[in-house]
Amino acid sequence: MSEGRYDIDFLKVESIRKVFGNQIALSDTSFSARKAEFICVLGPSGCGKSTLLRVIAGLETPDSGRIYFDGKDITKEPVAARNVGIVFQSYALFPNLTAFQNIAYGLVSQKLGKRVIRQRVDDLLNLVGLSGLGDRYPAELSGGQQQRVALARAMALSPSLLLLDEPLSALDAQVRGMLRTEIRRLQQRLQVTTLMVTHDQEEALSMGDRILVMHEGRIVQDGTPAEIYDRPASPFVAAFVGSMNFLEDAVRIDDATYQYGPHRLRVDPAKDGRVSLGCKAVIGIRPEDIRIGGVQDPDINTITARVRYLSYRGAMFRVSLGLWDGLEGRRSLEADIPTETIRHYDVRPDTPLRVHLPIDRLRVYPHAAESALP
Amino acid sequence: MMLRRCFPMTPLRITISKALLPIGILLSLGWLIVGVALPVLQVFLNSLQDNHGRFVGLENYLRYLQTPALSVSIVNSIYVSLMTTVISVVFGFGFAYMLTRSRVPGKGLFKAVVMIPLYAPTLLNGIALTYLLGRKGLITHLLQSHWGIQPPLYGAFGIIASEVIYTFPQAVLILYIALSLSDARLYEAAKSLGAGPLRIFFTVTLPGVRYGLFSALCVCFILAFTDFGAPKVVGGSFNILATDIYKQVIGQQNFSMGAVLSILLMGPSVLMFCIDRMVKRKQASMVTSRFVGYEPTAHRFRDECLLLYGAGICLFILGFYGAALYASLVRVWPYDVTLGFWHYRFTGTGGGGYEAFFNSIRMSLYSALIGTIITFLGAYLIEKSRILPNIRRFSYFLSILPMTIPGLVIGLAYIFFFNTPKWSFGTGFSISNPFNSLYGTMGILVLSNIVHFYSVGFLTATTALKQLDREFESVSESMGVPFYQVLIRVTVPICYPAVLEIMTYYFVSSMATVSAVIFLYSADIPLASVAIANMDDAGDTAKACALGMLIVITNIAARAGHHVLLQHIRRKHARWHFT
Repeated sequence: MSEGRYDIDFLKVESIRKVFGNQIALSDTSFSARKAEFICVLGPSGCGKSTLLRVIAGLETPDSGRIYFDGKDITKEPVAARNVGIVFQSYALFPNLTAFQNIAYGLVSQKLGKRVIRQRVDDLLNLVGLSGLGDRYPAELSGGQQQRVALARAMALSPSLLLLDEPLSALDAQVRGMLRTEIRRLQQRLQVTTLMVTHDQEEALSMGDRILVMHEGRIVQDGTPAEIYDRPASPFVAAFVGSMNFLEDAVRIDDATYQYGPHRLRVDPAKDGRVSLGCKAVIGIRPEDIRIGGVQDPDINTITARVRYLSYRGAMFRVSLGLWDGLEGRRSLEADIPTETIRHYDVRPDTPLRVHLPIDRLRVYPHAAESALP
Repeated sequence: MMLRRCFPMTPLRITISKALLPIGILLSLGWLIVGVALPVLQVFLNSLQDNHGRFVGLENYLRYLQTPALSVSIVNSIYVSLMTTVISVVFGFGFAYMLTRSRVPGKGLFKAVVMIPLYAPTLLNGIALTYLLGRKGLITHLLQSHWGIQPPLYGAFGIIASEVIYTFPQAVLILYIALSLSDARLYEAAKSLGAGPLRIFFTVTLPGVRYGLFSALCVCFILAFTDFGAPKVVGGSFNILATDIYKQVIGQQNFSMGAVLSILLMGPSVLMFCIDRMVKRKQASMVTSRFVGYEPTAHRFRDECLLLYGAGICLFILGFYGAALYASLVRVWPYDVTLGFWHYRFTGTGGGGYEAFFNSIRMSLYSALIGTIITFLGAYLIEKSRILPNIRRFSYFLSILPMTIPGLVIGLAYIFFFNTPKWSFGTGFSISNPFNSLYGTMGILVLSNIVHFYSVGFLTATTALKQLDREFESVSESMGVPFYQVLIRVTVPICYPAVLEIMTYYFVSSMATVSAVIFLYSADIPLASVAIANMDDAGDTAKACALGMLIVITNIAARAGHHVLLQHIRRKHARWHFT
């Protein structure tokens, strides 16, 4: 991504609040997007991400807050004045118009002349890889093709903002993967600021320049995919994006040191700030970060666990590890270990295993933070 | 590759299209208030006044209930309606069962024949019955000479017989849909658990259609309770509410009593309607998305029995209207049975003949055209806009209210509302009536038809609109194209089956109806259905039959035309793929 002209905020959303009856859909939501940036809004159903999209589109009016397009306050503007392109989950293609007519739909009322329109639509069909299919009706196109028609239609009027509401959720996995790359490539080619709503974290991680993670009407984290994944701001984000083991009721006993049951764990001192001495915390570690053997300093953060069962996943095994029987029952850990390693160390069920939790891969959260652990 | 930038809609265009929507919604509400709410309110107010306009409270109601000669008509109405309902629904269920649960051949023909009574004015039912069972009836003679029975045609028996024929197709329709929606997997599960056919019937089939059964019971009761045409012909001295209203208003010019009876006539309708709605809300969750339709297996004995049953009923219906046709062709029944078209010349009936017939066709065409546009637009504005939710909700309520208003009440209400040059409110306060000029014209006839049949069309349109993608309007707006463009270019074309259905429904119903127009027609605009009533009164029964048959034939032709047009459009736009 180049700097210079593209580092100014194109879209700015300030303190948007939206309430439906007595349900708070959005409470004090703010973020900004640069020109040509691809932002994914990620969250579980009901978190308010579609509402946010609709408010930005102008299909809903916020109860309070402001929206700026390129510095201009457009909060009160109707959707027709905002020059946005929208693709809905169901595509909303007009079934009685051909693909060509669908794409040309917005152009017809612009009084551009038939030849100009034809040229434009053909260019768009070419852009989305559907040349020659312009005379087909939506019912005669596959799901992926319909999606691309919807995209071309949204792009027809050269909008300054492209809004996608779960555009890929209606497609099967294979087509979805292919379209992810296509949409991303299209967006980069056209350099149009894009906001995509999704509940699929894999999609968000692979497509977004930035991800906004939403939960219960709030943006709980705003960062790049790497930031979201490696440094999740709360247990909710940690569990929603990828999987995470949560070691609960760990107690801070010293600088960057925690007591978890019978084990003493050391964490990265930089991450230790939020928890006071003697207070409880939740420590998180991702299954793929847990190591068996090949460790530089085997005495720190190494735990002897008992292998409960192994679940074969092809390239790796999901190993369920029992830690100890504590007051609240069994404590356990899930680890993703490459198949090669399992074979090398001959890991079997119901045997002890020494596992290592690397210091830099542990996340620490204060005990009462983000109480919505899934 | 950079695309050349396009500009969004000009501010003026945006303002205009944004203003059109609320204006449309308010106009729609306005017409509903003027056409539905106010007239009914007027009837209610009039029921609380005496014939000189003085407010007397519930005195009229009390007087009615205390006069046994008058209040017996409520009991009579309830009695005939209950009998009709039970007979229609029981036999109708059998017929619907035959259509959905057997491998009987020729179901298309059975379905077409059973719908014939829908195309006939109910007056004709009464008249045909007199030809069959009257004093000189076709069958009376047989019954008397062979078995010595004399059927008591004029009275409860005649009314019930006519109403059963009238309500039978409606019961079949409702039960047919209910039985079609049964999930096949329930039957497979029952069979795999070893249940026999009888047990399956009582534990799976009947419970599965209980909502449909209930709906059919409600609809048949309301239809029988409020019908006017047949009782007028064969009612005799058996007083029911519907004919009483007519007698009070036309015969005795006692408008307040007419108003009282109208309100009483509406009572059961409103009650049944509310109950039906509550029940329907529960029903909505019954059909899941993984529904599998039931395909009946062949079963010789059952299929043969049902075939006989269905054929028997269809022959009966054909015979019934065949008798009416025969009666219209016979020169002088029962003395000169040569066949010919003398009665179709309608000599000696003044404007009652072809002038009335063509007036009816004109009125029905206007009602169909204007009615469909208003209905579809009304449904669209309520269903597809996001603004003014409370006004839309109220409009929805007013749109389904006409279902509970019998035609007679509409007719009477319009007399009160549109006929008076000034509206008075019983306390000396009055304002002049801007709609007075509408009275006595084709306009008021068309308006009464549109209101009378509005609810069915409205619900048909709403159902069709609900199935469209919710976001058509949003997508269109985001591209700077106003909603009325997407309405014309996309919504209406896609909904063509519903649009055609509403149009035909308005036409057929307007041709056959008599209950509203009998109060509203003027001497300048004679109508066919009214002419039938007048001819029957005057003893010109053969001519009445002839005119009745003309209406039936016209309606059947309209329905056939609808079918042909629908198939044509379907084939032409097969690539749209969704119908």
